[in-house]
Amino acid sequence: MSTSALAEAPGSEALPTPPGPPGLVPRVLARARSRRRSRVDLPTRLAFGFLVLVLLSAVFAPLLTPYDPLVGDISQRLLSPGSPGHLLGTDEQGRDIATRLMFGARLSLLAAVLPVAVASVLALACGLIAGSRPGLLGTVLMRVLDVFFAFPAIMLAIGVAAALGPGLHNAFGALVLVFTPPLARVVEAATRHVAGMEYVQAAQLTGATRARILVRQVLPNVLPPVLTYAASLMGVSLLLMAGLSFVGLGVRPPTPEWGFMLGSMRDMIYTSPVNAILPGIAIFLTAVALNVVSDGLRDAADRS
Amino acid sequence: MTRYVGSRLLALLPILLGVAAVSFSLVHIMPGDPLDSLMDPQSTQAERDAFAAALGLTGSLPEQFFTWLGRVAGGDLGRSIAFRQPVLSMVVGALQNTLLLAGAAAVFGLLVGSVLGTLAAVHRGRALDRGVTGLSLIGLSIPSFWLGMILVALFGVTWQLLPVSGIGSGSGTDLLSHLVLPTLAVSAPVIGLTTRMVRTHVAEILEGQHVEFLRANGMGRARLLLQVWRNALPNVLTIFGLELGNLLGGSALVEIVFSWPGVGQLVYQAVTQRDIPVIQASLLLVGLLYVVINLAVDVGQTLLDPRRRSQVVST
Repeated sequence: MSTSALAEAPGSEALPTPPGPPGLVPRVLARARSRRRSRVDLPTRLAFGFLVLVLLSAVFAPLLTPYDPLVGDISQRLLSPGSPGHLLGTDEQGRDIATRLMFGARLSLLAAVLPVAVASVLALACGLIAGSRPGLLGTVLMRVLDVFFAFPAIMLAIGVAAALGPGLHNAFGALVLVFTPPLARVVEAATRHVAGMEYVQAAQLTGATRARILVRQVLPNVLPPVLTYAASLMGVSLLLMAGLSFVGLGVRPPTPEWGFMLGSMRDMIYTSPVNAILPGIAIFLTAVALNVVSDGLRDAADRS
Repeated sequence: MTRYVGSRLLALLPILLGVAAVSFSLVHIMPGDPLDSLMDPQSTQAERDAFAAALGLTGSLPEQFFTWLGRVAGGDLGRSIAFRQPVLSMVVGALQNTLLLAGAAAVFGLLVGSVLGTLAAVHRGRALDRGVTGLSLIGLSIPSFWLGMILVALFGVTWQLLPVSGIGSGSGTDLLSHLVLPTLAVSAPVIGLTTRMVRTHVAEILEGQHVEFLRANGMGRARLLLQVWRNALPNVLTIFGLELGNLLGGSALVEIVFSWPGVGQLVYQAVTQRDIPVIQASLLLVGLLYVVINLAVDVGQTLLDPRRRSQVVST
């Protein structure tokens, strides 16, 4: 479980210099974006294509398969992959594995995106406040978040999810708690950096209010490094969620979810190892694709 | 230097208090009355009161926290609901096994990752670099518990080469043979991350002026690399510490796959039985250890890096 990527949070020294005068930002960004498209390399595009395929199969799962993802045929249990009618075989309850993987992609993709997105919003709020108000409020806010750094991510997630009780919402909540502190640190460092810029002083001199400066000047310049880091956390989020479901703290049966599928077939490893291992391939490939895409986007952003 | 370490230790206090507070609050974020989920529904009111008192669930919240904190400071972390024995000894025993696994994986991952990262940095931009970078990406993306399952299937079931469950007799070669597969599974992300970071650091150092100078002076490749490695050592040590800390939790899922009797396995059992005192104590002790390891890393890095050392001494 690569929770260690959390330790890779970019510090303030790694922040790119924010683009020039604020009035230009939308135009500069638009231009950079059009130029950036051609800078994205082949692996990134392939990985992105794979993610789109997974997404499409998740959305159109009911049209793509004749089987029910929840109810199986016990007489057909643990058919090996390649059996007629069951391309990837069946699981311990006789359900079609390919079908469950497609339906499971819905929750697993959501698990990659949603906790990171929610944590990013919370982190922006905390980090912007703490970074622009270095006084007591900012210090207290960041020290409180620091406490959550004192736990290995998966331990914290398991502990919180276990106390809240098994269930999807609680697992998502636990992941939000894990991701908010490192994201907030990045936001805070970026905010401090931007707050010292000349264009912010210029805005102050024109009499702009603090809130206006935060939204119009600071936020657009803080977003790029934060989004880059958030993108790199999506793979981690997918893996953590799979881990929580694997130990039974995520979805409740019989809902299909990749980590849960791995967990429920764990004991089949001795009898039908290929079936038991299959759901992991989906997790692995999607995590690779997410990481390739986030790396590619970061490199492209570095180049432009 | 003593003053520096002292100030770092002082700065640790609020964090430790925070760790305690988070662990303490686990019982209180449980939905509903904690007693309902912790106790037999048929228990009498007297039993409930006694249990509440034993768990420290009487009085106001701050009152409860400080009572609990006082007991924890005295070494009493409560009793397991499922096993009916003191939690402390259970968690400490499990923590030793986890440290063994995490330590083995951190050392192995660091060695492999350092070699791969250095190779990639020296051959930067070439096919070898791309291959190694791809490999590190795989290491970072593979779910370690899944890798564990694959290892069980291959080594345990198909080839029957190595034991895949438990810790054996707990000593000697038996322990080592039980340690091999879990270590491989746990170290995959460590290899991935270490490779990446070593590659970045070594590439940076290789571009430095002092390396240029040594090269111009005719220093051989092997000695040059040794020199580069000495420069990279503080950073590598930092990576090691970070990884060791992360693995205290990161090995949890692999422990479950291999029935390794560590904290992860213990917490897993506790989760299925809703044995909150065990989860609470595990989180607390792992948090404490994690904080201490991080401090040791920081201090160690300062000691190793002359630039940082002089900064500390002069202030």
